[in-house]
Amino acid sequence: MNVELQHFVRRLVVVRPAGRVDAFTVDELKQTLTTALDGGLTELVVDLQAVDFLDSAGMAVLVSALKRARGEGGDVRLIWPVSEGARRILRLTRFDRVFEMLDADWSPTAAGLQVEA
Amino acid sequence: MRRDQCQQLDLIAETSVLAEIGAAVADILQAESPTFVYEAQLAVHEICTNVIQHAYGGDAGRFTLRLKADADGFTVRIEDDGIAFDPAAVSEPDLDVGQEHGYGLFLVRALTDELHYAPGGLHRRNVWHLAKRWPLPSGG
Repeated sequence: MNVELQHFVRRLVVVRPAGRVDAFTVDELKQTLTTALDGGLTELVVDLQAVDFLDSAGMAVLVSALKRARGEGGDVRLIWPVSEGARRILRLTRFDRVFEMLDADWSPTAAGLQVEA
Repeated sequence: MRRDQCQQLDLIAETSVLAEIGAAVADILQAESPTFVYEAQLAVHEICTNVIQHAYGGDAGRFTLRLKADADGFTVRIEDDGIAFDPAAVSEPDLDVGQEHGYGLFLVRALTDELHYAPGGLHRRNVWHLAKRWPLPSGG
């Protein structure tokens, strides 16, 4: 009897912007997400905990990444920001319904994923 | 205790000034809750971003930002000499589907109590007026 084993790896990337994500600073986040998606990485988590200000330009970049990721069979999930003001804005725009939102205690290892250095 | 304050900024129409605008709003509202400050900052920020990105078609331009806090609330006047904007041409976003455009004006309308726009003309500047009333005291 022959037994064949095949390993498949599904990669998840955590993106952690910090500070302001606005019309002036958003290009760096946009480039980071685009580079990941261009590289075939379609399971993304954007950790907003260190973001202290998010405007519509930042939100547009997140939506653009979401649409592309889902179109390619993946997803973009968001970790809630710490700022209550930012959290309110995400609820106001129903981002918490459009995106799967993750709490601060979420971690890749808790989700059963092995961290690759 | 709130005190009357007024601040005017004359700014170049570039996104590099956005952080300065946020700081000015925070400074005039330093007695308010972080959430109120955030909402005010975002509303002012979105209108200023609109002016920066659309009023001068990418050419150099300037705009004036007047911030005022008094007994009635927080009011903002933003004036520019650029291309007039048509708020009615911006459709409301479909919030059930993520969109890449349209959140800016939606947020400003949701976060302010008054919002008016007067397009300019000959010898007249385009003017945005925003107002946000002070929150009611909590606990009755």
